[in-house]
Amino acid sequence: MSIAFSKAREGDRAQLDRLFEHCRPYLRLMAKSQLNARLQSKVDDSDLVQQTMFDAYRQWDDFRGQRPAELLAWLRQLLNHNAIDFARRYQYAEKRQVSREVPLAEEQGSLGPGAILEGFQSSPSQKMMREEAEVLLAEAISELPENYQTVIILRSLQRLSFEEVAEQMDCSRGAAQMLWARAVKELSSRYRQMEETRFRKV
Amino acid sequence: MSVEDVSREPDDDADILEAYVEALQKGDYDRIESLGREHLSHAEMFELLKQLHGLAEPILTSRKEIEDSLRLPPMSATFIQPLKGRQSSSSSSLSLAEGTMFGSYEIVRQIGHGGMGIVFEAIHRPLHRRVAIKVLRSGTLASPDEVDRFQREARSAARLQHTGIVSIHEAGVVDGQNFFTMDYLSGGTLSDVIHKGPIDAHRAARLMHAIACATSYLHQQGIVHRDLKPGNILFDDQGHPRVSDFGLVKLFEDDEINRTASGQILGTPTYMSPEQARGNSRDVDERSDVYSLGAILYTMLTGQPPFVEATSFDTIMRVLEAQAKPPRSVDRSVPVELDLICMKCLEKDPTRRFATAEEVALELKRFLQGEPIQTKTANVQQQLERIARTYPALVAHLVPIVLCSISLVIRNYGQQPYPNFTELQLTFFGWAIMSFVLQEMLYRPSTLWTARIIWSIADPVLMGVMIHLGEPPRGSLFAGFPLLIAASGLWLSETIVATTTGTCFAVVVVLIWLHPEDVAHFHHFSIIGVFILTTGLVMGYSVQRFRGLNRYFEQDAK
Repeated sequence: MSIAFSKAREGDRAQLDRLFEHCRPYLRLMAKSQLNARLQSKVDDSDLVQQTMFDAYRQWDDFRGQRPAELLAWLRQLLNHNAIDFARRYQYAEKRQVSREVPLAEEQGSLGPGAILEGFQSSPSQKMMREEAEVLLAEAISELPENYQTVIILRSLQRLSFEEVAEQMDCSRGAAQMLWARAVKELSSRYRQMEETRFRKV
Repeated sequence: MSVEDVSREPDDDADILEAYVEALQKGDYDRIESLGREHLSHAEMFELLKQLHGLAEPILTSRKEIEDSLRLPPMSATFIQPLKGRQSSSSSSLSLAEGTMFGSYEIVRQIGHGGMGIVFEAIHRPLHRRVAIKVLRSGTLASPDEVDRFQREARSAARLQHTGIVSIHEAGVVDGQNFFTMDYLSGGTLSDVIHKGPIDAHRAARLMHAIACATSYLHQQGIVHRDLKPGNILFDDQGHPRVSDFGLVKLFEDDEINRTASGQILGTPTYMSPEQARGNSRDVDERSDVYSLGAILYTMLTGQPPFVEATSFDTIMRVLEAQAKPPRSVDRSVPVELDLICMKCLEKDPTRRFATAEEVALELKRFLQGEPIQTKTANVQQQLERIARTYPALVAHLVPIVLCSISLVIRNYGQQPYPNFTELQLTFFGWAIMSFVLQEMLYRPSTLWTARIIWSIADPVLMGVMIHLGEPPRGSLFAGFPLLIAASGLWLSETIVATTTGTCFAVVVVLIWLHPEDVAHFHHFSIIGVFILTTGLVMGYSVQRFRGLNRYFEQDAK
């Protein structure tokens, strides 16, 4: 990634394509995790990723970062802006509809202030986690079976409780917990394999 | 999304993983640690869960933004905080007594406090490692804004490794209180050293070389320190300086959501660059740190910062407008090279400074190795500008004095000799000499006020003497008095304006008494008096308004 990054930085368009392709699973995961249940039915996360990639190509010349970590931060920022745009557009569309029904599921995706604060707690090993590892982990998640992906996004990334996960996935709490544990194990072994092959290659 | 074939067999692993993820999400560090110890076989999966947890951080912050934007009307969904309206409740004091446990750290003693938090010396119990632990002062009541800044500080600092900076070890939360830990350095700060007086030039250059190298490393990592000052330079056991406290670091990647965009002036005005003092964060870049490096070098060489004023508002005014006295005119023993390097760092215009901290380091290295430095002596125009900025009051006196004196000389040779020519030229000369002396007094805090008062009395008196010695008709020369009063407003003091106005009035009265023939009508005299008093009132009012604003900002800074 760093080689592709520095080449793309020097203006190599082919390397830029490679670099963005490399980041796509990461962005997709970010997109999926950001859209809550309510928005997910209206906004396609691949649209969001597509739009973000498009913006990234267009604005590449303005990008001033010198390191891959800054690239990821920049992409996330573009993604955020787009997500906010999409969400607003959706909100207006919703307002125009006369329906005043508030679906129960709406509250599920939202985070209380406590949850937001919790988001800041993590050990230094994660703070110092290499951007390569983040991209790799996202890629590993994207290769999991669909239901494994969903349960990991809901429980570990959106940090919903198992009760909420169970409700969204339409199963019992116990089943959600089991499914999640299996997903984590599966991810762990896949990730390790990828790490071994990938880092040897790079 | 179907969840087929999930059987309900009891699975210890699932419970362990669940316990771990819950501990992570609650920030329960003790539990995380004990789980890690008890289930060594799960280490790999725990590591994965940690990584997932870390991956979720940017997601959660950005989700919050998205959800906020849904709650607010689009136009107000900005990230800019209003200047006022800062939480006063967030000052709830935090005190950790000696020997108390804070997470897995045993507090030894408080060693300092800064704008963001309190620093303790502590021992990490499991490893028996001595660390410095910085705890966010406002604890659970912190506004998300503050928590955000604190976490950014930790995040941006944790990935940095350099011999010239203080490393960050861990960041987290205990009982809702954010903290991070860093190297414990026992050597004190550069500020302690400076308090003892000026530092030997070569030692100052060596220290500054190390600090500039560390700053250059930060810049290469895309980080502008923004708050370089002696208090942020710590010494390790071997006496090597290390840069710490990245509290105001702005990552370039945060450009779009510019959190200091509210115009809040953050930082220490004494070591702050003019562009930072102006509050325009857009203009702040590596060269702002170069300015701060220069200010620190200046302080090391002379024992005093470039600008020392009573209030931070006055300091900011000086940072914006004035030129510091070159270190060599404060202390002749300062080598010319260091004087040049220092003054180049302190240029008001960033483009005239060294472009990078690395260049500063290289120049200092050349000096230390006895090679010729590349910084050139300022050209004539730059030197004139510097002189005008360094001695504004002196220049403002000398220029009109010299011009008036020359015009008298021309007048004297043009027609018949001017009456009292010698006396007048001598008065001009004396006035100029007095200005030099008073300017020198202005630079000493003990004589500063005396100098201002003498100046504000002497100017009208000398002008009166010259009008008295001059040729009639003298009436038009009285216009000089309102000018003096207007100029006295630049001292920003009501007392000075009042003194000048009073003296002018008295001098005019004496002049009219001596030369009644010059004022044909009594009402002309009254009009001149009214002009003088009105000018005094207008200037006094302006100064008062300015002082009011000053007080407002001072309070705000608290």
